[in-house]
Amino acid sequence: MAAHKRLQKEITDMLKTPPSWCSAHLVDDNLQKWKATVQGPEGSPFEKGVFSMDIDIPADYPFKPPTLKFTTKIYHPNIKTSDGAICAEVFSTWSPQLKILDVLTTIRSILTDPNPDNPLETEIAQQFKTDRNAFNKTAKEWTKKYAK
Amino acid sequence: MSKPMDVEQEPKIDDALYSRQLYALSHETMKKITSTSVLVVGLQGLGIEIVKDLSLAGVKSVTLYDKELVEIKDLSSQFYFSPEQVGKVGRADACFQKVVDLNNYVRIDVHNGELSDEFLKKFNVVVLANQPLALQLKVNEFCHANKIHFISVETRGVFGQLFNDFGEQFTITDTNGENPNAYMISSISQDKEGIVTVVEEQKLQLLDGDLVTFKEVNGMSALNDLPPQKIKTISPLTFSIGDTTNLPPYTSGGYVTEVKQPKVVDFKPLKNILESGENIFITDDFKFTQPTNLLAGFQAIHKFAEKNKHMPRPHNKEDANAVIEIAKGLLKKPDDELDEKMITQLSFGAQGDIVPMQAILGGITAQEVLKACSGKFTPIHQLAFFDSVECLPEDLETLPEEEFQPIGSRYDGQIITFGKTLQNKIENLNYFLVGAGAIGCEMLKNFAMMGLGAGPKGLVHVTDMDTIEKSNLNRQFLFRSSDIQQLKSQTAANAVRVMNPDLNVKAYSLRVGPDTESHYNEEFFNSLDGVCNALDNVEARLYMDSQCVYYGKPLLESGTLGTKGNTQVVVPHLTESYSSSRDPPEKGIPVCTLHNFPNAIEHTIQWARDTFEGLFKNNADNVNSYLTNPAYVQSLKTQNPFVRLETLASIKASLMDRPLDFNQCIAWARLKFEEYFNNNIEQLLYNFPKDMVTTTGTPFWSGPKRAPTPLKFDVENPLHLEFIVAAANLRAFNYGIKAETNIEVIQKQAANVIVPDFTPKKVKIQTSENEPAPSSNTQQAGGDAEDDQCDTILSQLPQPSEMAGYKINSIQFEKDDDTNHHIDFITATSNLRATNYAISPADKHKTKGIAGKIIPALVTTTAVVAGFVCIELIKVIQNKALEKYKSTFMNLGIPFFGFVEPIAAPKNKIREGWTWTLWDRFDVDGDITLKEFLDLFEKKHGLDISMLSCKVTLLYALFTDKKTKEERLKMKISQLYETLSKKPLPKDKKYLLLEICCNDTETGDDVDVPSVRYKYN
Repeated sequence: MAAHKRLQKEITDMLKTPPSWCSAHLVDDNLQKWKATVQGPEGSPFEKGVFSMDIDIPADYPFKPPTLKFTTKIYHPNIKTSDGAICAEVFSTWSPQLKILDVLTTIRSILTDPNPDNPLETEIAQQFKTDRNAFNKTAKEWTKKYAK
Repeated sequence: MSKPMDVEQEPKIDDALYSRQLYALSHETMKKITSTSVLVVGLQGLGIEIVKDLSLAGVKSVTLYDKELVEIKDLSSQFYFSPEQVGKVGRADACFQKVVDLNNYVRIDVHNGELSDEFLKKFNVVVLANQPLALQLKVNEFCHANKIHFISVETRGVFGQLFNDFGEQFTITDTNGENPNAYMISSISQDKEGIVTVVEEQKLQLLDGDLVTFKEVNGMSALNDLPPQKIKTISPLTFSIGDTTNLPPYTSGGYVTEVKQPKVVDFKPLKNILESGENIFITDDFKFTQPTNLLAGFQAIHKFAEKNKHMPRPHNKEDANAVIEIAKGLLKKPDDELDEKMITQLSFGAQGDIVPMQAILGGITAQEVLKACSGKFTPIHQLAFFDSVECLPEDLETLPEEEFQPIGSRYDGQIITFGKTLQNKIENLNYFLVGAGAIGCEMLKNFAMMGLGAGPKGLVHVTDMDTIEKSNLNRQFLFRSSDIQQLKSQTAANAVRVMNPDLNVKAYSLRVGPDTESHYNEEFFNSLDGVCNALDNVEARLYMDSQCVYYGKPLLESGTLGTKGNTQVVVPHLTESYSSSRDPPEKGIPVCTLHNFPNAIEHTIQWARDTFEGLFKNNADNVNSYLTNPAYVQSLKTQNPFVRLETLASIKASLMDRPLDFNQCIAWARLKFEEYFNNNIEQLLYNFPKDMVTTTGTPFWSGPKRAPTPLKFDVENPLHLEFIVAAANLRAFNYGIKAETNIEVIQKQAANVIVPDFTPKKVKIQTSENEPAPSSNTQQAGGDAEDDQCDTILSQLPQPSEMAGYKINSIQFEKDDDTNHHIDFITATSNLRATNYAISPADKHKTKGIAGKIIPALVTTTAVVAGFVCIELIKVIQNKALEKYKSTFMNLGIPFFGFVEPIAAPKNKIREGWTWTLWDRFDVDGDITLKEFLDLFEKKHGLDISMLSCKVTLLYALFTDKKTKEERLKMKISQLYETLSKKPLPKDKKYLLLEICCNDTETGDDVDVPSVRYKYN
């Protein structure tokens, strides 16, 4: 029962005082299924984009981390193009003290600072390292096309 | 009475039977165990526990020695005696056949002659169970002089004693059974005492004087060839070794691994220990006076018995006082003070015989036997005492002697210990045993001996949905080979009815969970006095815990992992529940490590397991869904377009490229080899050349990122061929094709497969402003690219109606079948990938353990935890105070025993005068509207509800938009739940469990409150 109570509090906090750069709501009033949107950070090729993602929260949350997947197509070395899966350190160093908002904060930070040294999309990572301008151009194009 | 002499030969170890034990002990240890002959003297409950555990563990032979006739009291714990044998059959003969049936690999003999010196010399280990002290001393002296390992063990009611003498210069080959610690190096200095720093994720678990070796160190590569180096610890991440000033500087990489060292221990004879009081092993750090008093006490009752020709009489004050006087004379130090209460308890129960203590002392003793014959793990050194005095009646000394007098009942051993009143209560308990595996079998045996559920109102419910497999037989001792594939629960119930025909036991095969709440319903739980978990997974444990909290029932919880075991007792309104505290989450493997950067065999095994699932199960399932489920294609539309595209592409490949014969399966396997172990690696190296540096200037391929090497297929390489054979066979199975069994035919065919050349994919670099934006995929530009491609594939697929009746055989991973190629495939795939990344390969046994998430298991640990659980059960039925209960953690290997008081149920305060625990809840009877519900809480409890949920469904929230809120306020709660959750109200239940977030009406403070049991009809 503890998980539901904590989720109630988390969604309440999100809705009462949402950060300026993201929003979240329940899917079909299901506490374990959230949909969130994150604004692309300013100064990054993703700026002005609105990126949607599905958040699935396991029954034994907070002892297990949530699963997040982008549903908006995004050109990023740490986000799998085909299914939106994310490789970020927050999931493998998960602690029950972390909250959904902390995870979203981490996601936003990898939009600002991709980590090409731990890629899921190796070709995008290579381009990021060897031809940053081309990466930025493509990322901007995809943002304009898919993330309005 | 003995079987014909076996031909002396090294036995082959039955890996299937001993599977879980091998993961705890290793094959080398098992070989020593199968060479060991054991003599067990004394075949009452304690002796039979030892014999049962050793037979199941697979020693070479066990010889039984006990010429005394069976007594009715013996049946309190000797589960292989029957009432007809009382007064007629010698104890060893009485249980001989039942012991033989435990394990065909173990030779069982009965010795009815003398314990002559010549006879004793035949054995590697001699165990004396509840024998006179004079015999203990005599046999021990002989064994010590003749290098025979000696163990003497006793139980007296709730007290136990164990003595080990493994001789002088006994070698422990492995003190703890843990894998040697290995660490990734981040730097090594050039110093007179070179400083080694490891990467930050791991903390060193090394001590000064430990030995380590190095491998894969670059730059200072001479370290890789040195013999083990002695270390000095400096900080959690650094230690020093010898002189490194003259070695080339460290550049990168490397691992440092602990070297486990054997340890040599001396044991003294029993006579020396009793006289000196030395080498007492402490089992409970909180019981300061126990060792001193029991050292004197056990000797005192033996002296009493020698003098009076009988053990102290049950609950007899005269005898107890005599024992006290003898004990006073045996204290070792002038300032030692005798705990007369403890000695009285020991004397009162000296003739007592309770199965929980037999299980505890028997299991520990059997483990010590295994240590003696193998040198695996650290023995108890040398004399240890155990007691469970907290489970005795609180008013023990004031109860009349008559309460504890035997009545000629099979439960007399328990009556002597606890009294008739408690015995009657035990017989009329109703308990639910969840699980009939290893712990479940031990629990049922214990229940049968205790008489739990044997009274007119008593009943044991047991459930387990599993059927019996060969690997279960090693620990699940109620089962035999002939029971394989039978239901565990029914088989176990039948077996314990033989042990105690009076036992009332009902067996079910329904799993516990939300799906079966119509069966395990309110009436069922209300009939119970308690629940005993005997489970092997956390999910079911958590579920049963929530049910026990809801229905207010005590829960007894336990688990084992190799030599480690734990127990927890949960008492309504007194303790926290099982789920109140949680183990830290298991670290998963990050997805990018799994995909591109493995550095440990665990990573490649997991990858191989996922590959198996994707190729042979998911692909088949997708096709079968497409062909049989008209709504399948439509349901795909709700998914990410990329997921949909990938799924449809795999369905197309599976249907339109399906093999027609086994040769095509071989070709497919060969092309998969090329894709996985050559092409993908070449692509990765194209994207990240071996000399690439990171954004911070360090080599990209360093630390956890191991540079891979593509593999060139070599049909003569056994590992390459193993992959082809396994993959081709599995593909053939998918498509119902008969497989070729001749390896040479497969080999020849694989060599002939034409493999296309591979060219790495490139990211197109924009060369002018006017070129279209590049993409890492080949899709055309445009937001609907994926949708178009999906439509194209759909138009190419055959219609389901054209293929009516066709299906692909989906393969479910089965870890314990050695003939189905599942473990073969995973092992070969994992090791090929390990070869790519220069990771040391794992054998099939280890791969199976990791891929199958096998939990190592030992019959000894299982028996001991079941014993501790039953001690707690006896406390629960007496409504003991919190401080009397003990939750246990133990490791029989180290050995270590930790007993702690359960944590009290935390109290939450709503306001002054109103506190609650997890055991409390609000009750609301009758279906009312949401508005009425909110008003009720405001008026009656002074609480403003801001959020209301049922399970995962949010029913009400303050922040909901006005129109929705107004609609919901008018609805009955039950209707609201059905509407929002899209699930009907459960037919077999009459309530919903609701969770509230609320504020105190007066103060506005957020407050934490109990759940609501909402009865809607």
